[in-house]
Amino acid sequence: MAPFNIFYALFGTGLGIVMGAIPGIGSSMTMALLLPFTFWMTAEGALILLGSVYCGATFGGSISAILLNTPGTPASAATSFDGYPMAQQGKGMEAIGIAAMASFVGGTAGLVLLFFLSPPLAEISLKFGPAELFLLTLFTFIIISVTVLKESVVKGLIALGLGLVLSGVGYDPISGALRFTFGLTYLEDGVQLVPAIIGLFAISEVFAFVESGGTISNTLEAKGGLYKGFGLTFRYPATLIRSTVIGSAIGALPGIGVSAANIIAYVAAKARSRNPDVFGKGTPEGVIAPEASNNAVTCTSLIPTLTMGIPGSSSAALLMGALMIHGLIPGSALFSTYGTVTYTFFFGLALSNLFMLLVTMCTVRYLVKITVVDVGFLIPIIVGLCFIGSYAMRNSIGDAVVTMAFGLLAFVMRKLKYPLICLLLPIILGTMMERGYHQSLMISGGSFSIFWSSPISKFILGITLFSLLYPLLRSLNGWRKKGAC
Amino acid sequence: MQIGMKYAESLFLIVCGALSTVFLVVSFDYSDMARAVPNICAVFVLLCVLFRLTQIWRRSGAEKVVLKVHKRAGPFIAMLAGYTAGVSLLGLMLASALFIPICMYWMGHRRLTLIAIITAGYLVLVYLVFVVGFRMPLPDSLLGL
Repeated sequence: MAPFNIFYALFGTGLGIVMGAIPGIGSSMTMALLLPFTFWMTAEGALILLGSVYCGATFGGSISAILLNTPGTPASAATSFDGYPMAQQGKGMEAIGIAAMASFVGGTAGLVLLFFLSPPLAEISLKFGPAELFLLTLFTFIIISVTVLKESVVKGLIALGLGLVLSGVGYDPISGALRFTFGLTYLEDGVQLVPAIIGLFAISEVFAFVESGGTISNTLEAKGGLYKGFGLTFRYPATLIRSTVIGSAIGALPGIGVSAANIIAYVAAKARSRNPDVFGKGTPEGVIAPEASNNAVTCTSLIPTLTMGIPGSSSAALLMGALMIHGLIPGSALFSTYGTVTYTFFFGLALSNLFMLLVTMCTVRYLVKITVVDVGFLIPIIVGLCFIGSYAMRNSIGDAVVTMAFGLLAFVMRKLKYPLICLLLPIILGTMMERGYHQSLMISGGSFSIFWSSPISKFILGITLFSLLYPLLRSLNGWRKKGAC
Repeated sequence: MQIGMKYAESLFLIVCGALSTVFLVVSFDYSDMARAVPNICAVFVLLCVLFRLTQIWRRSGAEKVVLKVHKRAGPFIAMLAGYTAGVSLLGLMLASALFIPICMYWMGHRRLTLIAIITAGYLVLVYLVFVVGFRMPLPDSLLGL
């Protein structure tokens, strides 16, 4: 591997971590800004630089999620649920250690899958038609509403419904008809994901800072440490493996993406945990699950991109753009004729994963100091960065207004203890669900039997029904036992 | 400021219900395909809202639970609105140059030199990273300032 490629991997990872940590900037924007600079590079150099930014930014988002409860990217939304409480307890360094190691494991596992299983996994993902994708999103919505807030499932369902209603704004995904814009040109493109996420998580947290004052960390004494965090990651092998598998599977399916994967992995970890009550209070499992899954997605989302030319995410689409700029066409030729470029790129991604750990080790002790800075200094700076982040994607002041509106909505919902995650997920996946629903009915000529005709559909439908009925059966069992007593 | 949780949540639910009703009514102007899924979702929200309202108002002892909102929340919402308007009118740099020190002072910091250094440092960093480094356009002033 040429020394320049090693430098690109290091530079890309570092830049990705920094840009990922700024709310709203994220991997796709950084990659888009870098793309023109890659014209004069070799194909492998360009791919390594952009791929490293992709990996670095996915992890970088978790740093601000942990330290400021402000996810830098949608991929880290779930990391803040337990990472931030850990930072409040003075365990910020430990939480970053867990996030870095889980990201490394998830990223490496995803890379191994990308290396060995690209063609067969691409074939499996082709079996997911519109009906299967519709059922998968439906299952995701139901499992999250049922598990995230056990004390009041209906609150989760209301937030979910509200998110689904909001996801209907803009163009209809099939007919292209405009809906629910109320005459506002801005709403034609629908509710934008990045401003919504910044508002829901960052601005609502700023409100919490305004109310609480003081510092983020409740204790000035730093507990745990980076290396303890590294070690803790391996104390939960089941969570680590499960989340990596979830992330890898979701990454291989085009369209779902990293934004949903971290939330699904978090909810799965909570549902399978022996102590689900500790989730949201600073449990290491709550950091491992989203971080292992989101970095697994970054690698496996390249499977459909490289094998079939179907990008699994916007960042993967940018990588595909870089491929094409350098005259490489996705498909089998990438693994035969241009094998040297492809496998050098994979090696560069492996290096990027390693550099992620190194950069973390060098910088974490300075980063965690932010948790002992008075929030009075942080509030205007976070608001300013949120504003830039939401504006920068489309150069639209409307996006910044949406950020503020979602921040206010999230402030109210947090006060009333409504789960924000249930509002967010339909904004991410709502359009895909609607498209899957209509496309399935168009394929079947209006017959609903398409939703249970294939074995994959039957399986997803089965687990969806089980997820719905299981809490009911458990409650019934509880009542019966009480009656017997 | 304190308000009964029961009343606060009911108000939130009524707003959610009203929004869904508006979507339902407006959707009658659209084709069957364009309105099918949003209609299902809006009806679903209405049913859940009704169920939750029944739950809240039937529960005994719910009056005792109160929702506390800090006195700083209201003025901060006004400051956010002012900043948003300021960015459109004055541009990001000028609006931030006003918002950051005012916000820090309002949060109780009185060391003006420190506030000035942080504000200047932030603005320089934003300019260097976004405008010089990435050639990213930041919101300009509508007033031509």
